[in-house]
Formats: sequence, C-alpha cells, structure tokens
Amino acid sequence: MTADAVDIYDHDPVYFSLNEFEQHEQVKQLIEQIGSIDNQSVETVNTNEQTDVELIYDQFQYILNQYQEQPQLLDSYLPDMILRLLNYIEHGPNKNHIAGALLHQIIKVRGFKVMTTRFLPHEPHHLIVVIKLIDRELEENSSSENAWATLYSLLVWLGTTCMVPLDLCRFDSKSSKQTTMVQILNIYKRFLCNSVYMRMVAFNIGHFMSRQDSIRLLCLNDYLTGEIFPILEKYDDKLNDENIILRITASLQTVSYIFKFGQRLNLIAYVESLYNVLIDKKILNAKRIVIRRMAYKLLQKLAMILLPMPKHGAAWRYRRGVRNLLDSLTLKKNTSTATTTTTTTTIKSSSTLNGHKHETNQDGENDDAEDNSNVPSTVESIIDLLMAGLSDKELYVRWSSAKGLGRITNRLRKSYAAQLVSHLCDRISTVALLSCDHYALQGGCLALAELARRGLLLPERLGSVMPIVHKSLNYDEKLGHQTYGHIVRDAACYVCWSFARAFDTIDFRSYTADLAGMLLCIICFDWNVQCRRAASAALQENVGRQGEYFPHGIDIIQQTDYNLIGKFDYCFLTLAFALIKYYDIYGKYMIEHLLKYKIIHWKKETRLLTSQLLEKTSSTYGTIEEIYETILLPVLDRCLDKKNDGIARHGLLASCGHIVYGLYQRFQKNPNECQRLPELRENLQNKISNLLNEYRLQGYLEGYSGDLIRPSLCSFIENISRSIDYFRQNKDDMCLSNETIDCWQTIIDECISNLDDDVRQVGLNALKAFSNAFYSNSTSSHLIDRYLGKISITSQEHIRQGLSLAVASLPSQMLLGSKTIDKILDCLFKLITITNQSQHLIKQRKDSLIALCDLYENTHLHSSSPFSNQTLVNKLINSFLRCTRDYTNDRFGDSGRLVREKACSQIVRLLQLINENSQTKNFLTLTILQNCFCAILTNLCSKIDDLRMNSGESVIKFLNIPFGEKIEHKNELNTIFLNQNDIDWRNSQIAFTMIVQLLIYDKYRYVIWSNCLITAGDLSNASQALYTFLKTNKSNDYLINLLLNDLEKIFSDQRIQMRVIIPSIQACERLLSQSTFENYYEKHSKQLIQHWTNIIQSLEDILTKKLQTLNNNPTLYLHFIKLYCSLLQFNNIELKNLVLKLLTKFFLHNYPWVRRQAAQNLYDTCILFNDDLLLGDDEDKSEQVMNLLTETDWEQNLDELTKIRQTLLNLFHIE
Amino acid sequence: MVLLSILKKLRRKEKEMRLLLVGLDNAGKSTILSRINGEEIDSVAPTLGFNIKTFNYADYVLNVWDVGGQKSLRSYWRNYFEATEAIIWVVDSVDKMRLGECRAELQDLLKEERLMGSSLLVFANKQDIVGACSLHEIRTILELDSIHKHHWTVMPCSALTGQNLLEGIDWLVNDVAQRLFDPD
Repeated sequence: MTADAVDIYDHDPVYFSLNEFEQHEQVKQLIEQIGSIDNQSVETVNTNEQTDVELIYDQFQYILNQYQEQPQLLDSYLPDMILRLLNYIEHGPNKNHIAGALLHQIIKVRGFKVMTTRFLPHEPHHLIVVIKLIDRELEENSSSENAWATLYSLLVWLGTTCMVPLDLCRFDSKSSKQTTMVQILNIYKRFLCNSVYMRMVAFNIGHFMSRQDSIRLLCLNDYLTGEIFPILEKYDDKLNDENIILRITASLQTVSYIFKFGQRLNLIAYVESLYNVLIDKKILNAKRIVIRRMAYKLLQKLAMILLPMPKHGAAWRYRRGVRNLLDSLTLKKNTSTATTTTTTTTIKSSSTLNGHKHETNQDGENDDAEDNSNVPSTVESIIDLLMAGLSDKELYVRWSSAKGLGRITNRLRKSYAAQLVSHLCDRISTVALLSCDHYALQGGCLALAELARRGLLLPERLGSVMPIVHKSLNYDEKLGHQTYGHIVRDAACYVCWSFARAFDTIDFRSYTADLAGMLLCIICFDWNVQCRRAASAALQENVGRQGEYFPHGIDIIQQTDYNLIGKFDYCFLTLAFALIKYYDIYGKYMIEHLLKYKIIHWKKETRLLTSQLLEKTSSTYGTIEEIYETILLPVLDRCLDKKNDGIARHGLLASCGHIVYGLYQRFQKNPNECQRLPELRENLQNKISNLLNEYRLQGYLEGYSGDLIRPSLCSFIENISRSIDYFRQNKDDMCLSNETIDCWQTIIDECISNLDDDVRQVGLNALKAFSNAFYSNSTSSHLIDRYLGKISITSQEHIRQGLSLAVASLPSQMLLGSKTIDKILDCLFKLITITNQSQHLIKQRKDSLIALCDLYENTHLHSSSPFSNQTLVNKLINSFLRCTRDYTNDRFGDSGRLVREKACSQIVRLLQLINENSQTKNFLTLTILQNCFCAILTNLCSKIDDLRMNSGESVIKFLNIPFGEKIEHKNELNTIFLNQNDIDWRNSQIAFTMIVQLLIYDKYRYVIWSNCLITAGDLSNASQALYTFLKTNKSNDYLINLLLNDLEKIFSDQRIQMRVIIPSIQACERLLSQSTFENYYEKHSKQLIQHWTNIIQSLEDILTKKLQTLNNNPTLYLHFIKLYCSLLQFNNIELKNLVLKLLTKFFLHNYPWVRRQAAQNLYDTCILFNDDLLLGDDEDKSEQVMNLLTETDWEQNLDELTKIRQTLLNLFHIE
Repeated sequence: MVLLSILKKLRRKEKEMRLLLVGLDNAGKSTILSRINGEEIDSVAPTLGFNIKTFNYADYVLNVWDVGGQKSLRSYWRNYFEATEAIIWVVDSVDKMRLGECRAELQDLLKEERLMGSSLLVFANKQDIVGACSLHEIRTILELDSIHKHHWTVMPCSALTGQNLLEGIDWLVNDVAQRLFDPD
C-alpha cells in the first residue's frame, strides 16, 4: 500500500454543502405524475407505461440522493409529499407500488427512526387504516418489483400509529377474532426475520413493548419469555441452520431496542436471565460478527438498566468552564438595574471559570448520599466483559464496548469509576502494550477518548494516562507482512482530540508541548495518510482549544492543511524541514524521533526520505558540533551495531552518506564555521574508511540482508565520493586506504551487474561519483579491460547492460589515456548490431545506445577524442539510424519499440552534442540531418502512444537545435510544431491532425503517407485525420496523383513486410469506403483506374509471395477480399472485370472459410452497388447472382465450385 | 471508526456549531463575548491572539471564535470535518467615518469560499451611545440588501447593556439549526 493511496475521504472534503431543498417543485410534479398513470394496465405489460414508472422513480431517486448528507433540508416539504404518496398507496390500484417505492426512498434518505417519530400522520383512526392496508397487500401478494417497498413504508407507518397513547383494546372490533394488539404483533413477527425489514421492525417492536398496555397485559413478558429466550437458548456456535441464526440475530436486535426504549423498572427483572443466556450459551464469543456485535450491544444496555442514571450524569464529572448562554444573558438583564448584585454574580461566575474544582467539591459532599447503592455484581462482570470486548478482533465490538464503558462509568460513583479507569490503564499498559496487541490498544484508546469526552477522566488521571497515549501515538509494529499500527495511532489521535476539548487549558498545559511534538511527528513522518490527517485534526483542535500553551500553533496549522499533507514527500522534505529549521522547540524533538524510529523504519520509503531530510537538516540546522555529536557520530556507530538487521543497516547507512554530503554542502558555503572541524573530520574519515571493510568482515554484504542494503551501500559510496573534497587536504590525497577503495570497487561491481534494474542504476550512479573522486587522474586500462572482458564472455544480458553503461561513464582521462577507446567502441557497436543471434536482445541494445551517447558526451571535447574523425561519427549516426528501424517482434509483441524509442531520443542528444562542438559541427551534412529527421518522423506516426510521445518530444528538440544546415521546410515545420507548448502527443486525434499537414511537402510526403497508412489500419483517429486531409485537398489533383503514385510504390516494394501490408490494405479500404477519391475520379478516371490496376497487380504478387504466411493465418485474406470489394464502387468495366475475376478466384481457395468470406462480401457489395454492377440486366439475372452467392455450399469439391464460378462470371458478362 | 468519521458523526449528534465573531477593530467583539460569557467587561483590551468560548444554548453547543485581526486563521474557517456555520459581524455604530471601510471588509469576507452558506448576523453595536447611527442608516451604508448568498439579519445591540444580544444569537442559532440538525 502506498502512502498516497486515495482513501475514502479524498473525494468530499467539505460537508454540508447544500442550503435548501431546491428541487421541491420538481419532486412535487413527479409525485403528481403518478396520478396520470393508466389505471387499467395492472397486469398487461405495456412497455411505455413501464418506462414512465421507471422514469419517475429514477428522477426521484436521483434528486433525493443528493440530500443523504443533509436530509433535514427536506423536512418542511415532507408532510405534503408524504400525504400525497399515502393517498396513492391507500387508493391504488396500480399506483400503490410506485408510490410505495418513492416513500421508501424518502425513508431511506431521512432514516426510518426519524420517520417513525415524525412526519407520518398519526391520528388514532390511522392505526386501523394501516393494518387494513398491510392486510390488503399481504392478500394481494403482488408481483410488482416494488411491493416490498410498499410494505416497508406501511410497516414504518404502523410504527408511528402504534405510538397512539390510547389503550389498544379500544380498537378491537367484534368481528375480528384477534385483539388489535395480537394483530399488530403478528404482523411484526411475520416480517422480523426477513433481513430487509429486520432492523426497522425490531425498532418498532422495541417501541411497542414500552407501551403501558403491553406491559400491563404481559405482552412484554410473554414475548420475552415465550419467544426471545427459547430462541436464544437454541444458540450454539456450531449451529449451521441459517434460518435459526437469522432468528437469533433478529431477537438480539429486538431485545436491544426493547432495552433501549423501555422503562428501567419494567425490565430489571429480565436482566439476570438475559445475562445468563449470553454467558451460558457463549453468545459473546460467537464466530459470526453480526451476532457478536449485537450481543455486546445488548450487554452494555443490561448494565445500564441495572444502574440508575444520576440526574445530570455523574456528579463528580469534570466540566470545563462551559456555561449556558441563556443564564448569563438573562441573569444580566434581570440584575442590570442593581449594579451591586451584578458585580457579585460576575465575580462568582468568574471564580468558577478556572475552578471546576469548586464544582466538584460542592458536589463531592453529596457523593456519599448517592453512592449508597452498591454496584451489583452483574455490573461488575459486565464491565469485565466489556473490557475484554475492547480487544475483540471486530472493530464494531471494540467501538461498542468503548461507548458502553463510557455510558456505564457515567452512572458509577467516583471511587468505583476511579478504579475502573486505573484498571483500564493497567490493561492497556501491561496487556496491550507489552504483547503488541493492536486490537486491544486501539480499543483501549477508544475507551479513553470516550471517557474524556464525557468528562469522566479527571485531570489527576492525566499523569498516568499520557504515557499510554504517547506510546500509542508511536505504535508502529509490523505483524508478518502486514501492519495494523495505524489503527492504534488513529485512535490515539482521537484521544488527543477529545483531551483538547475536555480539559481546561490550566489542567492540560503541562502536557501540551509534548503532545504537540508527538502529533507533529505523526503529521510529518507517518507513512499512513489517514493517520497524518487524523493527527492534523487533533492538532487543530489542540491549537484551537489549548492555544495559549501551544507554541507557534497558528503558524503551524496553516502548513498542515488536510490537502497539503496528502503528499508524503511534502510532509518530509518541506513541512518537517521548515518545522525543524524555524521552531527549535519542535526541531530537537523531531530529530530525536527521526533518529530513534524513522531511520530504521520498516518501510523503505520512510527510511529514504529520512536520509534526505537529514541531509537538508545537516546543511543548515544548529551548529556543526551538534550535527556531529548528536546526529552523525551516533548514527555511524549504530551502523556497526550487531543487533541490527538488514533493514536497519539500510536506513542507517543511507543516512550516513546523506548527512556527510549535507555537511560538505555546508562547508562549501562557509568553510570557517567551525573551529574544531579538522579534528572532527579526521575522526569521521577514519570511521568512514573502516565502515564497509568491517561490513565485509562481518558478512553483512552477503545473503538476503546483503541484498537489502545494496542500494544503500551504493548511495553511501556515491555521497561520500561526492563529498571527497571535504576531506582532501591536497589534490593527490587519496583520503581512503587502498583496502577501502578496493572494497568499494567490489561492491559497485556487484551492483552494476545485478539482475535488478534499480540496483544497477544506483550502482552506476555510485560508480560515476566514485570514479570521478578516485580515478580521475588514472590512465590504467585495468578496470576497462576487466569490464570489456566480462562483457565478451558473459551469457547474461543484464551484465552486458550494466557494464556497457559503466564503461561509458568512467572519467574521460581514464578512457582516453589508457588507449582502450577503440576497444570500447568496437564492443558497444557490436552490442547494438542486429543479427539473427542478437535480435532478441532488446534491453542490451537500448542501454548500449545510451552508453554510446554517454561515451560521446564524456570524451568528445578532448583533443585526443576519436570522435573528431568524420567517418566514425557517420558510423555512429548510421548505427543509431538503424536502431530507429528495429521492428523486432517477440512473444511480448512489438518489443523493438523500446529500442526505437531510445534511438530517437538518443540520436537527437547525439546530434546536439556534435553540433555544440565547433570541430565536428560541419560533419552534420544536410543529408544526415534529413535522414535523422525522417527516421524520427517515421516513429512519430506510430500507433503506440508512448513511442509517439517520445518521438514527438524528439522532434521538438531537433527543431530547436541551431544546426548549420537547414532541413527542408524548416520554417513550415516550426510553424506546425513549435507554435504550441505541451502538445499532447499521446492523444492520437491531436497528434495525427498535426502530422498529416506534412503530406504537402515532397520531402516528407512518402514517410508520412506510408507510416500513417500503417497506423490508420488500426487507429481510427489516424485514418480520420488522413481522410479529413484528403477531403480538404480534394481539388489538388497534383497532390492526389502523387499520393497514388506513392501508394503503388509502397505495395510494389520488393521487401515489403506483413506488418506493413495488412494495415495498409485496411487503411486503403477505409479510405475507399469514405469515397475519398470521388472528386479525383470524376476528372481523372483513367489515371485512377490505372493506379488501382497497378496496385492490384502488386497485391496479387504479394498473395503468391507470402502464400505461406497467409495460409498460417487465413483471416488475413479477409482484408484483401474487402479491399477488392470496395474497388467495385468505380463504375469502370475493365477494373470491374479484373476485380471480379480475382475475387471469384477466392471461391476456389483451399480454405472453405475464405470462400465463404469472399461470397459473403461480394453479396454485400452487390446489394450496395446493384445498379452499377448488374447494369442493364433484368431482374432475373440479378436474382440468380444473389442466389448463387448465398445458397452455394462452399464445402463441396473444387470441380463443382469451378463451374459455379464460371456461371457467376458469365452472369457478370465476363469471359 | 476512523477518527475523521467519528468526528463527522459526533458533530451531527452533539449539535455543535461554530460561530465566527468578526468586525473591524474596536467594534466591541470581545466585549460582546465577555458579556455573553457573564464576565467582567471593564478590562477588555485589544485581542491579540484569539479566544474560543463554548456555550450551551437550548440544545446546542456554540463554539464562538473571536479571532481579532488574525487573518492567518482563515484556513481554520472551514476544513474537512468542520465548517463555520455562522458569522457575527459587529459594527461600531458610532464610528461613522469607518462605515465605508466596514462595508468593504464585510463584502470581502463574504466572498470567502470557506464561509459559503453560513448565516450572517450583523450587530449594530454601541446603540447605548447617543449619536449612534440608526439601523436603517447602517443597513443602507453596508449595502446589506445586496447580500443574496447568505441568510442574514441586522440588529441594533449594545454589549454594555446586553440589549438584543440574546435575540440576535437566538435568530442565528435557529437559522443554522434548520439547515444543519434534526430538530428532534
């Protein structure tokens, strides 16, 4: 998972965006439309009617869904809407279900709980109406797909009407056998176990059972003892009967609601037995999450029934100086006449502002009075169970338990609550933290936050709670390949958020600074974006509420904006750097945190960002001594700590290199900053010199952990090499021992021949810096010979890739001084040559192209450079040009594109370098430039988006180079390509519209035309661009003639390949089908026919020459057939006869599939051009042709088919 | 139950709203806040940092933000889980010279995207002083009738006597509540 992964909060940062229900008129009209639906068509499926209903529903749903977040905006319009809908439901027929569906939609948006208690009509007589309607629906048993929604809505309405305060027996009718109460209960029971209705019906039963008459008539008792308990008794964790499980879930849900709405005293009698069932049947341990969730929900309700609720919550509760606005203003008003009393009131209230303790003390006197009742033992057991629930694997169980503990604590006396809190703290710090149980930790944090939010965590507890919060904020353990630490940190942020709100600044101030540092570390350094954002929310709350004690709070929260901190590298490199630099109070804390946790963090990205941040920090922060003593030297020492694993060494080593480089940058800016520098530096130099030798001795470079640290080793070597002048006293000082240099060279050698592309790259980076630092004066050929030798003997492509790039990057002195340059060139030229054996070595060619260019760049300015020779430069350019035509096709498809891509970009780079050198500038003749440009244009016409983009960029670069010679139409090219910035080359529509404009220039016509045709066969945007171009130039006969000439040339090319033939034929067919040549045909019919006749001849040639390839894939014949058919559109007897002869030849083809395709396509064409093809013939003949084409059995033997072909030709009047 | 989703849920359930108390300097913002809070109002000095006070009113929890001149706090006005639901704009009715400036600042403030949709209460403060502008004058000079994108009202008040403070806030809270919360 990447840190910047899009999470669910990203799409909607601002809630409550709507202000009113704007579409109420529209909705009203939709409801009115129901009235106009035809009454008759109840069962007859009338498609029109159906769509009307669907239309109404879809629009209604679309509008209402927008208010899901702010449903209260609908409120003032709801009664009217509901009344109309209920009217339709009542008076049906045929309208009740669409009305029911709309009503259900309203209920969905507004929520069934709100809808039950408000909005729906609840006159006493409505009760009977609803019951009758439900009976009607049940009897009717409609097949309408919305019937369930109608029933759902009616059941919600039943819930409303049941709230009638009258005794239900008043509604009993004599005719009915059942009492109304039984009737209602039966309806509820019928739907309870259907998961669609379950929650809502359970909610209704909950309310129903709180009715006085339900209790009086023992309805509640019967239901609980007769139905709920027996079902719960059946529970067994091995139970597989889905039906019973559904009933158990429904029962638990129902009881939860009964206990929520019921009176404490009516329910207290059932608590014991319910508790026993939950325990005895182990329902709390159910494997099924739904059941476990419900069970825990019920459990906390049981405890709350047992404990009476003090009037305003626990008297000992901590209250922040919040007061009632009404009190202070009205009080003021009443006393405003008497000034003396006002002052006393004000003084009194201001004394309580800081003194919540006053409040507590006053109330504390009453504590004993309230606490007379002992906590029942069941409550104690429930608290224990909820504590255990905090460690449940399921989030909702933990959340429920946390809330439950909060609610229960609110009903406890002070001393008992204090025990509970200390028990909770113990649990977190011993059980959860020690055993790294992230579930328990998160649950514990949720509970702490819930307590604090309710004022149940007293300030004197903060001392023992804050260490736990700190540990949780910093909890980041890995569990196998996964990590759950983020849920803990997120919950810890919730604690911080709730503390900020709960506590008075005076009580909280001593913790603010520490907390701020901790939160900032999460915001800056947490890999998980959710945690960063949670911490930023907590930080905002703290700054807002505890502002006075929060240094620089306002400045900081502006930089920790929700959107800004979405980007991990911003957080590290910009935000954290600024905080460290400008706010020393946080800087120290954050650096400590980095060094302790992030430098060895399990996530690679974090470690690398840490090293970069430390580099930036060491170049500006504090004093040099500080950097050495608190950062660099400790980190260096830790590099050799034997307790470390590969991951830690990776981070530490990378950081060491970066810090040294940071110090070097600082030294360059201000060499005299530190007096003790020489002494510090010498010590450092020794340590660095020994470090990797020591690694080798310890065996750290081998095995899996060796692989892990390899990139870091390279980055270390690279950074130290870059900073070598930091240590150098004079020019020839090697600084490091020979042993060290050998060791580093070996490490680099291993990396540049590694299989992994990334490792090779870091190896090459290191080699460049390393060889510059230590070999720049060397003329030894030893290293080069070794590399070249290895290239020639190895069988591994990646080794050749790495080493060829390596050789080219060595210092020019070494390359030229050692007289090995010719050998290198030979080697590289060999690597890019395409032969049968090397055809598949795509990556090798790609990298060698870069290597050649690097080599050129590296050496060409030297007097002894071989590149001052024109023949060599020409050879170089030609081999690059050859690579722009690498059409290697292997099992990965068109793999050659990678080489073509690199060849295009590198050839431009090469040309630029040649052009910059005054000695070689004149090597670039017009022909060379023209050839290079055309080679790039060829690739620009590609159908592959990436290749097109790469070549497009190369074209732009090419045109921008100030060559001595000017390629043809340079000015026009500039106008086409250089007049706009950021051309979207990947967009084929834009790209090809630009490209086809080159068709009018003779020099580029053939290249563009032939390559665009190839692409136009596959990409409709390309063929569309061609078509539009030809359409615009339709009266330019000269140009069209040239293009047709080119077309002949393309197909008559003796070396033509299948990759060209098929798409080009397809493209021709596309162009013909759009009557592209109509205009030209009218004026120059003879020429056009001649062109096409020639082309047909070339095609026939191809058909014989490529017979083998075509027979391997007979579907390719189809393209020929289609092109021939489309040529029949020209009303010319010779062409027509020729084409028909050739087409009918396909009837005798070896493959029946080809025969059928030919007949099918000819048939289609005959229908299309009937008049022209069978001109002057009577109906009869035309019908004969059609019959032959459609009814012939193309599987019969060839003799029969030859006869049929002859008959057909005769019918077409062809000899 | 990630923190940000808890916050979103809590906010709706607990009926909290955020009121921004703004206006030119010396308009009497902090005095109004102290008065609402039942504090001594003699010692009110220019606000340097900012104050947040929390009150209960009816069922609601009001967080009143007196941010003084802190423009840098703008990013606070609306974020991903909290928005400013209401603005109390305080006008010094006596300082006629600065009413033009006051209008410009107010119009500027209302353009702020972070305050979109919030309700606006304009308090014409210091009505206890003789020579204070009338409500009508203030309404015209501040061009209040040109405001269409916010629900608004203007009320004369006095932080000193407490006149209309309750009525104003009552209007504001009801207006916001209709938009935001279940009246249940």
